[in-house]
Amino acid sequence: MHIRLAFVALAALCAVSSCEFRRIMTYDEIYLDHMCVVDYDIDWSQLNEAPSGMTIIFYGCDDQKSYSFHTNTVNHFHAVLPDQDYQMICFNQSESEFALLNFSGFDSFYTAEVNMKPDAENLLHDMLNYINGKNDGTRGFNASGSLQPGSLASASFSSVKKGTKPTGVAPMGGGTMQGSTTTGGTTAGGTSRGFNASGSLQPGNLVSNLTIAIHVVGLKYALNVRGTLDGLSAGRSLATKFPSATTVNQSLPNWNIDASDSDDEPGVITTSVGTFGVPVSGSRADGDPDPNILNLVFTMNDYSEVNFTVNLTEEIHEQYEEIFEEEQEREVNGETGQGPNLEINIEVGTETRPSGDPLDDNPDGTDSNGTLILHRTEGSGFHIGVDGWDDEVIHHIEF
Amino acid sequence: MKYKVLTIVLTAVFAVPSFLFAQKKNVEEPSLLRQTPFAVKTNILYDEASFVNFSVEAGLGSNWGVQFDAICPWWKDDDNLRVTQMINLGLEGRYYWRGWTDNSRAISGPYVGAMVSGGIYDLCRRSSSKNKYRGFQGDYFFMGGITCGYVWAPSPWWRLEASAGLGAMQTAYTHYDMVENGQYLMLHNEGTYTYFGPTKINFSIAWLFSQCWQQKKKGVWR
Repeated sequence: MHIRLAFVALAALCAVSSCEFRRIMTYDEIYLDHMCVVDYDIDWSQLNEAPSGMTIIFYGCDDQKSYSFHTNTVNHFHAVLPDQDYQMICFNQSESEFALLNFSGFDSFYTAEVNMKPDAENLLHDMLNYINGKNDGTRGFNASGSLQPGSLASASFSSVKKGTKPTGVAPMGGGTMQGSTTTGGTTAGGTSRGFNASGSLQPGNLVSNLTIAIHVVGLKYALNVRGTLDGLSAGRSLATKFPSATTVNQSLPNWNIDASDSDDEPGVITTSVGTFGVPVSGSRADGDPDPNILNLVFTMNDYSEVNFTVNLTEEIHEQYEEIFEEEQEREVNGETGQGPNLEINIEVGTETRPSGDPLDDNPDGTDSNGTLILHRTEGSGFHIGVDGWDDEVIHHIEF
Repeated sequence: MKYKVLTIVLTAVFAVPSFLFAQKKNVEEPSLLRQTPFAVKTNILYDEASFVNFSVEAGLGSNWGVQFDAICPWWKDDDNLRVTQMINLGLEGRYYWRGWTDNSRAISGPYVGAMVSGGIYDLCRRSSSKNKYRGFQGDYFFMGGITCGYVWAPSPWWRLEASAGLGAMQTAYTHYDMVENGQYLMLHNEGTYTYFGPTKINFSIAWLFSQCWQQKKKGVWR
């Protein structure tokens, strides 16, 4: 009997001894030793207007998981993450924004990108806007459906490392950030706020402004002009900011016509459009870029149409690649990017009238300077006028 | 480590009476052997609250009983948020007024007693006011007081018991908050707490696994 009781007591003793409570830790032990507290101030000054929302995604280097945050608080970000190194992307986005842009590839840091939606979706969106009577565009696009410069910005860190544990500080105080930047954003070393990874971000503009000016002789005979430009990037990487290798034919719907009264002096048509750029050498599959062909259609005052094709490949690539390299260098050095002033200016032709009278000899062509020449159509065509059309008349109707 | 020392000491202390009162043979009566009646019990009220418990009571003489209590739930949900973990070992001495002289009345009737117990605990629940999970870990707790109750004997082998206790309790606790979805227990504050008032409420069902008397039949004690 005593032996049996001894066995029972021993078994109970072993069972009791094997029970251990969960460990209670202090704030420092949890958040400074086991977690990574990130805290950023975000400067959206490179955008035309403050965004209504933003997205921050952290890619864990150890657990290979992504931690995504969508918030309407756009000037400050605070989160607690598992303790590991991260890659990070931050860009302005909210659910109501960018109906015509497609954000994809968020499975990994380097594949995250933004792309313009296919034209069919653009047309559908424009049509719905028209039906609803609110054709005021959507964020990122103007009313005519063109990409708007200064509407989208991103910052990224290829490595967010946890800072050293501050000593002798109260919870939520002290600390530093270590983070090596490759693209976008700047770190604010030496900040007095105390988190494992903290600093300031300044997302850089992703949409360049492409301005095209074409000198045209005989412009006063044109009623309007529309055009398209081939070979522009469909999107841009949110992490590396490289323009995507996929190209689109981007419409150029709005042209400003500055015609000259003289038949001898060329007028100028200008347009400005937002673009994700063109595939640079680092993002192209092969060495030859897709040509940037400008297709112009002039509607003359006799309602005939005159087509022109201008190859702008060399001019656009030369300018854009130079600007892109400068931008990359600035961001690697932690400097502020160019932002909305990321400008590409293309000018075709000259302001001086070519020698001789090419209008007779070379209708609907270009002269040696590249100036476009339209044929004379004065006096022809079909015009409709209604007298008093613009006069305002007020009627009182009684019911 | 201190938990292990505490449990070893308590287990050793409570094991001694079991050895002392395990068997008492009355050799003066050749045909009737006096046994120590043992009853194993569980408090249904605590069981309902998921505080798994059991007790063993040994009858001493005709009026006295000594009871060993153990409350030992060790539950934790998958999210590590709702936790009920406790080891409470106790000892209670009882005096039964009516006493007993045969099996049918062993360990039954009204009684008064005194109890001491102690142990450790970790209890975590959702705090409705704070809308988050908070808990207490007891580094230790000791409890002592007086008890009284009544034990019914519906059959020679079964007992039903209702009792209550009054006394004092003291505990050293660590108050903590669950953070990061139950991943970590973050220290909130530490302190000690002393309490006077009810220390026990009990409605038990018991089974006597050892008779008070055994008869010798055909040379064998049955």
